[in-house]
Amino acid sequence: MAVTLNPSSSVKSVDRAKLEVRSQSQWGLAWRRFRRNKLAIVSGFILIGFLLVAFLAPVISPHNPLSDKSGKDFVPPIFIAKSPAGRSPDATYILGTDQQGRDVLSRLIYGTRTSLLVGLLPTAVVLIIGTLIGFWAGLAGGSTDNILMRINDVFYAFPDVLLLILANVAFGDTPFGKTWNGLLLFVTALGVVSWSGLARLMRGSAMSIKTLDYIAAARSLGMGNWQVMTRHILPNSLSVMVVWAALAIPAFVLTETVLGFLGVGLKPALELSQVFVASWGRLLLDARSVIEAQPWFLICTCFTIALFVIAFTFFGNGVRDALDPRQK
Amino acid sequence: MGGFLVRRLLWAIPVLLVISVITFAMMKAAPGGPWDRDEDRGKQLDKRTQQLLNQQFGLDKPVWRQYTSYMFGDWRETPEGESNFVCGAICGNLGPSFKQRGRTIQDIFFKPPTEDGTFLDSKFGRSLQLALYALIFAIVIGIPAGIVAALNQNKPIDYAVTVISNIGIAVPSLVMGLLLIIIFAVGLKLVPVVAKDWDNGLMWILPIVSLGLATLARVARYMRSSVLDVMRTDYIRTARAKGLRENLVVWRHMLRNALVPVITILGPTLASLITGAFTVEFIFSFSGIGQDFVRSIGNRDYSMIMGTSLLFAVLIVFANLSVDILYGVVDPRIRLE
Repeated sequence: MAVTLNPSSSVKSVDRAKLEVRSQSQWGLAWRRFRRNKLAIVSGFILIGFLLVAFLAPVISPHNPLSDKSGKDFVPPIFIAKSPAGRSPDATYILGTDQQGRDVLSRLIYGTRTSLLVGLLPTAVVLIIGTLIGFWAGLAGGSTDNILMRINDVFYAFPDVLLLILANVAFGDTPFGKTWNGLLLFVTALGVVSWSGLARLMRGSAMSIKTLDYIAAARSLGMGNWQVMTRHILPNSLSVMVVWAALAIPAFVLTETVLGFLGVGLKPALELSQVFVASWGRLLLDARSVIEAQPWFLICTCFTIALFVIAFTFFGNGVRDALDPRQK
Repeated sequence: MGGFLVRRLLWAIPVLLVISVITFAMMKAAPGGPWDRDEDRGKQLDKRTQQLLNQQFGLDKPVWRQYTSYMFGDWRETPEGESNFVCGAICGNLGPSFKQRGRTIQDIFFKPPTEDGTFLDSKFGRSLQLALYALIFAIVIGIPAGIVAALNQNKPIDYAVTVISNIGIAVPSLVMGLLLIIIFAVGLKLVPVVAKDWDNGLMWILPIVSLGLATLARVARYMRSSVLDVMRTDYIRTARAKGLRENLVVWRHMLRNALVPVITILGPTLASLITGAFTVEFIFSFSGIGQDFVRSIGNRDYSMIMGTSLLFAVLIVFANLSVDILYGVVDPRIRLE
């Protein structure tokens, strides 16, 4: 016989890798869905850029963001021939200077640092508070659930911007309010007002999972409430938490800009050695006051904030679509 | 339905009470008081005057008593020496302002600044108008945009609406408002940077647009996905199969049903328009209820702080309630229990 069938050699050598079906975890599948979303990928890269800028702030800032010794105020950005105040651009100040002669670009770079922290830290705090309360209500059920959800109702109806402003003005000058330039107070206040939405989601998640058969099986094997929560309910609620966080971070960053613009947010430090030497909200406030003499200051700040929140929103939408099992 | 309404309204009472307690506690925990600095006179008041003022405003009483007399009322001495019961916030009496002497908070909110003005010229009237116009702006443009996008699914116009609405949702009214000021006031000089004359309708355009844009984007997005859902239902296929004109299919069957989910987002939206107006009022120096709030906290104008918080909380509670009722009206399948 001229032809011998030798499947073991030929087929194997053809492409075994292609024939094998790799098992994929939920997260692996989500990642594959996410990768197909170009807008989300681009946004992800923009966010990595913001992260790098925040980390490398001292290295990449061309000027000291606090130094007003240059004597050059209201310098327009280099792409503008002449500012309304009649100044010409200066090549070393790429985005120009503010009313005190501080470099706008350097202030924005340091502001990125503050804003990222202000987005991430409260999110972590609220995730813990909201998840614990939500799981507790969902698992316990009955009167505990009822009481927790009625408390939730109160915070749901709370005019949160008002409470944040009140908290920041009321406690801003106390030692507590001054810790980390007001970040501690900010995070605490946000934690108090923002947990209600996430807690509702987590309660729903816990309630839907706890009736499933495998939870009954786990319980019959002697698992307690805590184990059921950490082993089964938490991992299965993780995607809801991730989606919530992806949309909460930009919301918290924006809260800081609103409070900063109202002049009641974080108090930027006066020394470079501290973390918060600038915040986007404070920049908006400064820029608004010189809107006619130096409109580019406000434009640059607005665009930075807008770029960040738009990128985060597209990224967050990408994460949501990737994790939503209905997509498949 | 009636039982539901009564229960929801009753439940609003403890919610408002807790909110008032928290606000009151924080306000009182804050160091300083209303007499620390008098910005109008620019000097510190002497001890004797402060004592008299404390008596007049009831600040010499224990803190719990101050709370109950603000919320529920208290006996006050009249000049003739008689004791009179003065009802508190539950009767709509938001108390005398600590800073704008001689005026009560409800006067400041609800009375027009001039004699010949109407309710609409009052601070609350202005804020209400702003929120309503923003909502109308959002609905009038958002719903058609969503419909057009859905009927042209996966065509360029659909992508344009989707991307623009995503950006509209992301960019906050603060940034949007400032950019609008730069473009239309600083750049094109169509309106003044700081608008003063709010009787001129032109001045209202920028605040309405910056307040309503995010809502518009959200409405457009929901409308689009809702129309897409309805398009695939059996009754639309039936309507087409029985030879109904396309116009009728779209208008009578598709859009009426597609509106239901959009109404569900109007509750949180209305609430966010009311509280969001706060930033917009600040940016545009719009004289509404939110504008003085920051200053009133700095001044420790206690009754102003309480009054604003309570008013906002009441508005949010009723906005949420009204939407629950609307669900039932639009979709009889939803039973309120």
